Amino acid sequence: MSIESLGYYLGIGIFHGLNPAMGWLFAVALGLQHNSFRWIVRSAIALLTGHFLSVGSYFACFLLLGKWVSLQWIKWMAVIALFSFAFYWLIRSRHPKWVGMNVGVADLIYWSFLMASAHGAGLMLLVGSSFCSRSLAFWLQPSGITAQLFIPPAMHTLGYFLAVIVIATIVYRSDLLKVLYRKWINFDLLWSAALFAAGSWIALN
Amino acid sequence: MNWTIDPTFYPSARLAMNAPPEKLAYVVAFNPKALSSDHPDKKRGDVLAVIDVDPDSKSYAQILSLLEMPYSGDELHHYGWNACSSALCPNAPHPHLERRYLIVPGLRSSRIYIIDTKPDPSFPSISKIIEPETLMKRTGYSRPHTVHCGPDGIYISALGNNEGEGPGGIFIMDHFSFEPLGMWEIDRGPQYYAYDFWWHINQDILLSSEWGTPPMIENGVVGSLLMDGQYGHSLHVWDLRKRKHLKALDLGNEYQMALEVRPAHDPRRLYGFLGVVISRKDLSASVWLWFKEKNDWQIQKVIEIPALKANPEALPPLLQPFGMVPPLVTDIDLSLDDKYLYVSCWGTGELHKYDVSDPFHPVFEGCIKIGGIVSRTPHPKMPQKPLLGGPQMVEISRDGKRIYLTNSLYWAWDEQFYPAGIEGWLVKIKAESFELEKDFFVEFPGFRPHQVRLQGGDSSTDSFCFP
Repeated sequence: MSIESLGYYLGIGIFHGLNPAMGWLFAVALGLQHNSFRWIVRSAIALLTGHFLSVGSYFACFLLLGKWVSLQWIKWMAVIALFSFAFYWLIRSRHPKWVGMNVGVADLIYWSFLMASAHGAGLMLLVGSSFCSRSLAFWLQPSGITAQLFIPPAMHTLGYFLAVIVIATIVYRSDLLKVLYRKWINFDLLWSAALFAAGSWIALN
Repeated sequence: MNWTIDPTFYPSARLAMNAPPEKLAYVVAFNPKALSSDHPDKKRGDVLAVIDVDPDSKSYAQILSLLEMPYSGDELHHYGWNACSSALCPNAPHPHLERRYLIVPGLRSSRIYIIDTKPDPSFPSISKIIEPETLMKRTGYSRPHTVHCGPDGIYISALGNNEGEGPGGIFIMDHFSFEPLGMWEIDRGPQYYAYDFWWHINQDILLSSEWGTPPMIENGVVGSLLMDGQYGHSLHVWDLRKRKHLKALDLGNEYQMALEVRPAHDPRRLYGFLGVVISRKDLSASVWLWFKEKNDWQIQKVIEIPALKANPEALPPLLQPFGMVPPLVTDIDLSLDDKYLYVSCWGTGELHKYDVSDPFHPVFEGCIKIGGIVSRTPHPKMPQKPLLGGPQMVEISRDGKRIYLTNSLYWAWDEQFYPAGIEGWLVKIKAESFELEKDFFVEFPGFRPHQVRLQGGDSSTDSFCFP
């Protein structure tokens, strides 16, 4: 596996983690509500777990599909899925209340899983497969499937976790929320653009 | 959909208190002639008035515009913003919504107006109307009342069901399309009456209060029901997440009409205040504190305001047998720092201020007199003119420095308690010195004003997920 592809997975993970709607703000709120830093760590680990489960299952679905379906089919399914998510986040960026605010670790795992799934996070990993100078076919080879299944989601989730824990810790420790929340740009639009770009990339390759 | 965050959203009440002073106030006022007689103005609709509240402006304390509703007889009452600081709650964030639309229900007609405050906030316009039939069909409710902006949608309480009887409850409206989505409750338990509601958002707890069903209120207070203790006297505790009734906190049927629900703004504080209009035993009014102790929600009386002796000739027929004027606490409001509670006594014409730093032991800080059934206290701007109506809807600015007050309650009840009629007014109070601002007296010729909403938010709109 190339450095570029690992970097890509990590980078996309960090990008997810930067979005306040994807978890770090939740960790800060829980830390403040319980007045305890332990809740930041606890939340970050729960968020990581949910994110990994979502991204991993998306990725696995497509890879395993590759065993039965031709590469062309996979490619166009991915493109359609990416465009659908992109349109969704462009025109209907609703964040339903899957859990409340009075949550435990299990709720957070569930929330993080749904949040990552609804954003189509796992699909972006698939793009990485063709993005990093490797064709999709490489990833669909039967050999070493376990490593291929595990490494991209793991690298991705590591990036996500780093972003969440670092930002949540800094914001919590230094009472940065009063400054930082003003910089909350519209990640839904940004994410939609990223999904469009990714869909186009696969389609054109 | 904005690229950056709405500047009127704040993560915490603490930060919202640093907000710049409001420059505009919105006030809904209904046309009483539409409900009473065959007056030529019967066909006129209610209005949304925009008031200039910027002391540096030339038109300070004047009505800048009146937006008239296309139908008459709606009886605009309570209303609220489409979005507020709860949009920053991290579990269901929508930070790129705008605080832009006022959601204005007609309590009598069950019609809901969506009013756009852009492009010119001084001249709002109607952008959508939800007809009563649509509301009743989609939600099973009628008589929409309190509007609260939640993180995941707009929550609205309703006094009656789609047949105009009980139970009342809460429904949800989509905060992008403003379509009513449906009934909120999954399990309502023993709850039947509805009125106001709010929440402890970080605990997933919703609290709802009780007035009565539409037949109990729409033609005025029914004396026999009141004396039998039939009006609402419970506060309901709900699981906000599971939409399930948890517990009814009964005040006892001596206490009638548990109305305004004001939880502490700091999400770490698990208590709040409930205003009760009248005691059928001695006509006193009271304020109750609910709180969580030993993992259980409880409620106790913390303020009692006695009725005052009065000459029966000065009283409306309804009150003459008692020879007393009841305080009638019809609204209360809590400042964003959870420090001061303002209590409207619509009957006696008084606004009380309490220091509630220790919520179990409120300390009386002062009283402003204006209007009142018997006292009819004038405003300092026109010291000769006796005023009718009394302190009713009270709204505190975000920084806690200014208070706005209107004088009408509800058409049929206005007629009973102030049979001579009410001329509408809005006054402003300096919170710190607790005195009426001499130059601020806004009249509403032909209309009766109810709830005030301040541009950018106030102390009974936003909820905060961060302490």
